[in-house]
Amino acid sequence: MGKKKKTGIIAACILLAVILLMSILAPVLAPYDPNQIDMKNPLAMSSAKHLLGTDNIGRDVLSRVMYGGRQSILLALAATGLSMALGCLIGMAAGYFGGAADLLITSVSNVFQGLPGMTMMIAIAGLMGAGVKSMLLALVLTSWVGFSRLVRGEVMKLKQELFIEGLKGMGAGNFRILFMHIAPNLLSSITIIFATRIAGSIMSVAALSFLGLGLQPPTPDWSVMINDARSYYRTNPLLAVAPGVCIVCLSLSINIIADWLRDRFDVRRDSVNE
Amino acid sequence: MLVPVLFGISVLAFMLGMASPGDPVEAILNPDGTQIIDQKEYDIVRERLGLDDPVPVQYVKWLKNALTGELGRSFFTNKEIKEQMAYRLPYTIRLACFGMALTVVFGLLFGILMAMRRDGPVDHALRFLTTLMLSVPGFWLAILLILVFVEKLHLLPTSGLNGFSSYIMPGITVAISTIGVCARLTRTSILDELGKQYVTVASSKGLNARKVTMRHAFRNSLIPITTFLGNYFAGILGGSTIAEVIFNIPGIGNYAISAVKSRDYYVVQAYVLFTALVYVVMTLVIDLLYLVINPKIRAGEKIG
Amino acid sequence: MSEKELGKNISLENYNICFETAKGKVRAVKDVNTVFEAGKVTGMIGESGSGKSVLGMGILKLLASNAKVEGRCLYGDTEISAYTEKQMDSFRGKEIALIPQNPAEALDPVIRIKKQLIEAVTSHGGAAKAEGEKRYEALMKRFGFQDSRETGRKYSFQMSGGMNQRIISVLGLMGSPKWILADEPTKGLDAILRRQVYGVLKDILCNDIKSMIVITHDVALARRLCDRILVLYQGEVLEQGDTSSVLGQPLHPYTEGLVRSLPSNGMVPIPLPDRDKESESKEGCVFYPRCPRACSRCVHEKPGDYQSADGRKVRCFLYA
Repeated sequence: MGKKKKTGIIAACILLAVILLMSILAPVLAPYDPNQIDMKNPLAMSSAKHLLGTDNIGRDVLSRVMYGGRQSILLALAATGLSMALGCLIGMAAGYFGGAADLLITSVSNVFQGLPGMTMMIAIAGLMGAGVKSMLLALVLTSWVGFSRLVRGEVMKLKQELFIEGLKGMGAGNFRILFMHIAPNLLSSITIIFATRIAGSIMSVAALSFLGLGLQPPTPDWSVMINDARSYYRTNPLLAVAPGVCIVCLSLSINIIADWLRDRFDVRRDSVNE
Repeated sequence: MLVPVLFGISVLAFMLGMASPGDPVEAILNPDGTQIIDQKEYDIVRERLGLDDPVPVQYVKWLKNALTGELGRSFFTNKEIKEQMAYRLPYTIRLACFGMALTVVFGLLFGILMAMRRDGPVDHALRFLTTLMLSVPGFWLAILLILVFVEKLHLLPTSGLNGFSSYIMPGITVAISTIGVCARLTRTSILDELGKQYVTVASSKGLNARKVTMRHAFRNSLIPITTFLGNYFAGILGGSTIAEVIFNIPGIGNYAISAVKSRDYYVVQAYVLFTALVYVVMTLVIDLLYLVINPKIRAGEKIG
Repeated sequence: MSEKELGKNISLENYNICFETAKGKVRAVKDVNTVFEAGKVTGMIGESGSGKSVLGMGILKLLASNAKVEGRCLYGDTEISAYTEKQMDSFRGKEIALIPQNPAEALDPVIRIKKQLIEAVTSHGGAAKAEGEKRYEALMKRFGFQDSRETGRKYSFQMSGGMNQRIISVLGLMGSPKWILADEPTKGLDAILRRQVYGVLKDILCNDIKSMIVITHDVALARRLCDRILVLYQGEVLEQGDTSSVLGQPLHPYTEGLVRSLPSNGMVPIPLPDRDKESESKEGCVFYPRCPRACSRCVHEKPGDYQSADGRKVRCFLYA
């Protein structure tokens, strides 16, 4: 069991590294400018000159694929990072102070949980105008609850275990207790959700951009490319297949790593193995 | 608990409309941005839309209307939203139900198989498959399906709605990731149950592993699984948007997307409210299902 | 009584159980050699964590998947430790049945009592449904459930602790086994319920089944119920023999301590392990760190099972 798992996780790490390197080094590696139009050579099949062919206005597909993850990976990271920060602060406040603050926060997060993520994102992204800013807002609004719930629960548990009253007696302020004593204990569980949420955010960014609510053409982005290809993939299937494979590889590798983290660090799951 | 959630969502839906940067009056009078608007005409339209009232009044009016099913008219097509929703709803519901059926059948099947063959090759293969399912964007899968089944094999219709076969690809698109999640949840829930003492006792009676898993562990794990599936039905409704767009299904997701692009905010509000309503209904349905699958709740009902 | 009614002897030969955990291998049962004689009641006593329940579940092969068993477990002449899962299915409940511990958690919370009980008969195939019903009615009456139909429609969480205790006793008898393995029957029970359990087990011994293994930390119960006693400490059987001699004139220092710690004997506790002695060596006698009569030999050498004059086996150098 152990051996197989190890090869799986190593493969996932390598895959993730390859995709990240490809995206980071795209300006160096890409054979063409991803937005360079060549109307004389549209929808070319793969050849030595254009390994993955060209799209309907003659842009090099390989170069666009190399550039295609840059924006969405950054966006997913930013969205997850912001929701983590927001969720952790809110969750810590709710769990630590309890009482009315907790009640208010819990009811608000119930409201946010009542709306399916996709609906919320469509509503916000659409009403505030399609674009990166509203997509970011929508993603943060839908995913902070996951963090705050977990953090709230853990903080409530830790509050009992850490003898907060004792720390207070020793003159520690709320702020100091929260950030010096409680926060370090949350790291492993936050890391696990962060990894899981990143994969989710990548899928959401992809879906929104595909629906035209996120990244806009002519940005070289995988989902935008797939959307652009909707009228042409019959001529050159690579137009839609290549960027899709990249999205799948990216989220698959992250999902595998997240799973591994969960198996390793989640105490709850351990009980199953006893 | 449900009422405040519904209230919160309705406020949110309403506020989303308020936050919209577009001017609805201008949008009606000057859809292409070329006309010069007469101030008097502008005021009349503004009055008609009730946009001069204070915000809370607007909210109450809007909510009252929404509760009676009066969702207003689309700014653009000037059609009754209520009628549009009524026309489009069956498509979306059918698609969501089909996606749900796929999720339940394959999610449970895969989950049970993984739990029974724990750590064996079947478990490993299915765990990889379900992780893959979580990682495939629905819209891309839809395009692959079209490439294979329509372009290459000519087995299925691309779009249009000719009976059951036209729902197959959209259904898979909607269900792909939920099948993955459901299967993994089923696996963990069953394994959780298999670690409990009553399962050991069931084995001590001489029951074989398959019967122990199905009759005892699986039945108990249905309780967490049902909660999850209920939450996901609303999610599937949201996810159906992508399938509707790709396969040209005239459902409410498609309606919402086109409304979003034209800032037709009454329509978007109606859509958000509708999804919230689905959430509430599903929560009630789950509570009813609990009565069936969880005797503890049933017994509590009898006494109380 | 014939072998048909009594079943066969259960013998363990160099029997070991260990668990593979995240922290490494944990040996729960070490080098056990013993025979559970058919027609007799054998008690396995020891503190919690001494491995007595693990040993019992090991005989039925109902251990968690990370458990590894070494050595042999024989039923008569057949080696059940080599049985396949399928062979075990027809063995469990039919030859050896379990009366589990924690009655409240031993029953499936979503299935009605009667269905769970009858399953113990139908699981062995044949046209057993009617037979199961008949057996169910008879046993429920005997164990004090006058309205067996009404009780059968209930779920375990609707019953009191005492009722669940009787239900699982019925459960053990449903498959008409030759052997009963009672796992911690009095754990967590108050005095009244403990007396009830004793009564139930005594009743079973008089009327149904003569061959029994009782796993308990309750020395008083073991003394009253058992013909033979196995004393377990940290996975090892330190002393085994007839109840009267083992508990009457204990030989092993641990058994001695156990008997002296009984309320009727003044409740003298066994000394806690000596820190220094604990760190000296891992290879010696398991009881060495707590043993008042330890000698230098106990530090590095493991004692074997030595036969005493009256036929007991004692794992201690004092009797070598």
